[in-house]
Amino acid sequence: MKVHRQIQNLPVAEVYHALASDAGGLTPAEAADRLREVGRNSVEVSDPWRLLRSLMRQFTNFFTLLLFASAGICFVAEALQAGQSMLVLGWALSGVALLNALFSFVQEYRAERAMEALRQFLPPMVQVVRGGQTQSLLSEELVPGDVLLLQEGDRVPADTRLVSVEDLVINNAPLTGESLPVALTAEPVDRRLVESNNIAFAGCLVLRGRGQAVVFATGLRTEFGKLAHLSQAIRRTPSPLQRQTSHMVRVLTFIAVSLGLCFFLYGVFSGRSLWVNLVFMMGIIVANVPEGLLPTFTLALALGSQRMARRNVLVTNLNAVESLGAVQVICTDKTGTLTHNQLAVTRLMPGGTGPEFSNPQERQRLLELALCASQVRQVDQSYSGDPLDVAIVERIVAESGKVEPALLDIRKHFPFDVEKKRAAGLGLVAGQQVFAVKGAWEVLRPMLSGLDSGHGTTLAADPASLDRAEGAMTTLAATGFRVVAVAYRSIEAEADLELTQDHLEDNLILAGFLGIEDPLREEVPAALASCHTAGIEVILITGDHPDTAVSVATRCGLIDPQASAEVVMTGEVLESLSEAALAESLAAGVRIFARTSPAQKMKIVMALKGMDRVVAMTGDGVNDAPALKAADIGIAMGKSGTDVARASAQIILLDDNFASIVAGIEEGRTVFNNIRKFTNYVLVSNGPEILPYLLYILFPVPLALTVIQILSIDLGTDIIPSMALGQEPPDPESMRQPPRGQEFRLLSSGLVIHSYLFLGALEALWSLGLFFYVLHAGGWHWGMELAADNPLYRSATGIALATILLMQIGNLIGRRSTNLSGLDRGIFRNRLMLAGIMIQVFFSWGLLYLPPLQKILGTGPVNASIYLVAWLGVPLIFGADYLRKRLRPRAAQH
Amino acid sequence: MIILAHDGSIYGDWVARYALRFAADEADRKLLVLHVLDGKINPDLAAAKLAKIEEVCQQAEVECLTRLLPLGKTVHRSLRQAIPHDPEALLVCGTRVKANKRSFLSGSVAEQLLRMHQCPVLALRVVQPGLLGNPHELLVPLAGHLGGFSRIWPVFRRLAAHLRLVHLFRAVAINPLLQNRLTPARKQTLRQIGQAHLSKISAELEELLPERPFRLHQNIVITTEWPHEIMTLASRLKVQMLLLGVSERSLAHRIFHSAGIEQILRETPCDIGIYRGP
Repeated sequence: MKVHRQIQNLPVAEVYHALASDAGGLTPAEAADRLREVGRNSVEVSDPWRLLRSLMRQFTNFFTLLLFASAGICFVAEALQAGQSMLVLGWALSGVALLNALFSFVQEYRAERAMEALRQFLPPMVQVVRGGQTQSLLSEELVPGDVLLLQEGDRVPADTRLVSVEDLVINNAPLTGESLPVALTAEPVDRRLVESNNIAFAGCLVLRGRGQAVVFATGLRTEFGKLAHLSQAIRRTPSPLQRQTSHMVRVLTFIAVSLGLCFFLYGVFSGRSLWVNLVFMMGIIVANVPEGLLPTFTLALALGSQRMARRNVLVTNLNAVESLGAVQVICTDKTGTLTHNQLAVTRLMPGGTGPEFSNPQERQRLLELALCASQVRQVDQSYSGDPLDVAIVERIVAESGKVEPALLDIRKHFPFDVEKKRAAGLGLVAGQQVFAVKGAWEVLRPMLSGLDSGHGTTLAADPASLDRAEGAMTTLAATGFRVVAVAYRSIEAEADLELTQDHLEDNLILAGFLGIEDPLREEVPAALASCHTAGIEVILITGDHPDTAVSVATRCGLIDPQASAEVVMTGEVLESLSEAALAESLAAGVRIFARTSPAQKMKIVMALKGMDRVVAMTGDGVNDAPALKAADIGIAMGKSGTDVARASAQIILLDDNFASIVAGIEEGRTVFNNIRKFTNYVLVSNGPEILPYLLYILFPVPLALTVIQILSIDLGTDIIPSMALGQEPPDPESMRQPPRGQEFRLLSSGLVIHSYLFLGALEALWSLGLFFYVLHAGGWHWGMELAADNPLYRSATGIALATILLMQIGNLIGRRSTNLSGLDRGIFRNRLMLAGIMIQVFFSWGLLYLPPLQKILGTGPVNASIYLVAWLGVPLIFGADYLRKRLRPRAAQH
Repeated sequence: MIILAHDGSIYGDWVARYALRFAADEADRKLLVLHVLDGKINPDLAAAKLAKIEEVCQQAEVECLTRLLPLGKTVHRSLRQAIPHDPEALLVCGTRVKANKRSFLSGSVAEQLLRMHQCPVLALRVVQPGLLGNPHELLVPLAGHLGGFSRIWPVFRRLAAHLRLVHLFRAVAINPLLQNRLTPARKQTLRQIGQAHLSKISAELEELLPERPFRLHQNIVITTEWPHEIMTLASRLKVQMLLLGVSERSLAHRIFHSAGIEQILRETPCDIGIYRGP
């Protein structure tokens, strides 16, 4: 007795014994025992705390904690000294924190829907034999050893070993991605478990026939369960923007809290009251934290996603908008993405000699023989069936204008078998009964006894003529055609229809080859050229023959026509490589993966991620789901994709077109550039917000800006201009730059210096200058204390605030372009920006002269001439920044 | 010699598949089957099960010795008394879900046997009985201890003959607070540390098995949660068995380590073998 076998290697007689079962099934007690050992047959990873954990994560990030802490200080301050609007402030800050956290939670929750789609692949009830009786059972209660009954239309609920079959044909698409049916057997096979055709795998669909099988793996231990486990267990790595904002928030929080605490302690030791110190500390923190920035990020991403949707790129997770812009490598499918996925028979070659059939009748005969091995149904005015079969019919229609109904009446059809790599049929061609086979040349070649010459004669199938035929086939494949060989033999009219395919496949004559083409999408070459310019690598992953893949890759410009064969790797080689070795191959220049299975996509993604690349991966099948989740950006096909793929992806291509990915990348890069612009814009106002507090604690001077005034900038007037910058159109330069590296920081030292120490300092100096001018003109002298409701103080603080608002207009225009003035882009082209400027102007005027605003903000009027001087801040900040741009070394401008 | 501690259940039968398969590859082709009559299983049923194992052994030309042991103070003690001191032997036992459905190893007889030093021990959690104790793809997570491959060797050499692919895995643990702040350079350094360790183990393995019949792959992941990574990798690589080492180190280490082991045992996508680690 052999003890080194697995269930697929056993003869039927031993299967029951191996799983401690029998034809009468398990007894209820045995089943209960086994259920206790292996658990329920469910592919769901039980995690009752997942939602709560996700919610807690949103409420415990640095930024949210900071906002809540600030709100807490406001409530304490209100309790200590009521009437300072601290309560309103506290609620406002809490509201912002709450909204941010809830929004992120909803985003994360919506992203976890793949399981719902996966659940559809397992049946709720199954037919089993237990205790000698056939009964319906909840699929979840299946255990190893259960005897399962399968019939047409059933979904397989667990991994099972077949013990009897009657013409059982199954669709393994959820596992293999291969939509063609597979005929199953109960005979033992000497293959790996996953490649065995005596196993019915969980999640697969019975297309035809019936069978009896013994369950040997349930739940997460099935092949489908492993896929489901990955779809649930793989955690998306934080997007580049999430990492950047997290870094920025940490830095800003550290600065804010450190400054706040230092000066709080300084105040305590210098003898100021606790209330003053508290307000002061809160002011420093509030001034340092750009409260409106993160909500504006969200708005910018939402607007970006709308623009992407207009370009056929549907975003399911807002962070993906920017992530797409950071992509360094795109792993793309071929069929449907680079090509139209519309097969067309464009070449017809004889099996013997000669380039192509010249005689229309012989072309017609080859097509009719191919159709005999196909299965097509006429539905209204069109045809339905396998795309290749439909392409054959369409070519017949193109050749002769119609299809004879007799041609569609196939007497017996042998569907395409993935293992056999061929389909066959028995039918009438030109009034004579024939058995025709169409499939891969390498499997037909050993069955041939002759070859049609193309001139009405038949050549003997000697090695020389077979080699010639193979040469012709290889030449056709090398030019990008998928090649299907067609062979036939005549059969007597009264032949037994019960004859098996194996009996009929003998003494075949090669009728010829069909060259099938899937035309390239017109937009793809330009999109790939754009990727090259933008420094994005594109990797083609396909199940097709390497020659076909290379041909398509060359035609669309993915590889150079002179590229060496080392750019191609087959699935077989890929399977044998470790991830580290694969990473080396990728670094050495492999750009095409041919004859691969969808499961291998995951390996490619992991190797690329190991190389610290930002990876986008396309996919459409159920088994693409793990790779779509593991990639930085999962891109599902909207038209041809499955629900599982769509639920696992962050981006859905509405037109399945590669060019749309590139359009999305351009939008993504634009969004990131715009985020940088408004981050820069918002941080500039932090300078004039912080400096008054430093002066106030260090010198005997009044506070130039109150907390409510700071918040009126951060959460009020800066929001619309920030959104306007978030809406700026794409910069033509954005797709000429390489993708930013992982080291790139949103809050770079350059940006901090420019925001705080240059433009921020300018705003601070000009606004404080006018603040002290108004104070001085009103009779204030050094060391004199002024009450908050003193009209002089209100006017001085009013002009300081108004000056900051006005100077933000100059800052806003300057931020529109990195190298140019910003005016060249036309103010009227961005209506939101115009609205932002008007808001700044209105508020700068209103807070000085409108009583309701004066009351809320604690400001007062100033002389109109001083207000006009404040306006000079606009050209001052704009001009200084423009001068900086002009004087900057040319190299730094990119 | 292979020693099988059989508890008389169907689970014990699944574990017996491994023991039988190991015994068939032993030089002495000997299998000693022990069952403690603890009252949970009818003695007649237990005897019948052991007789069935004898029958299968006979077919496989394996010498089978079966012993029904009277219950002493505990099941563990009864087994210990019957297990011969033989460092060349391997004790195979199962680790089953407890009544509370939370723990598999903690507090079990298997855990007590793993601490025993009479011979190497392999505690099995079998969830794919269809493999018939004959896994072809193996995942071996290694924690980076200096002990190298010696602890795992008695188990590994018995599995090696029929393996097609072995994945050595090293999860380089980092602090969760650092997770998103690692620079690419730091990540590279951590990967190199993992790589160096796995290369050392591979070289050791090369020496022990110069003509190994399987392909050897190395996987390194920087992570904050090693149990999660092990299970994800097991699903991704579609391995048929996991070999995990349990720690004999400090109590604190054991507490944290065993929580991870329990999680893997509970949610595993494949069979698991547990050996006594460094």
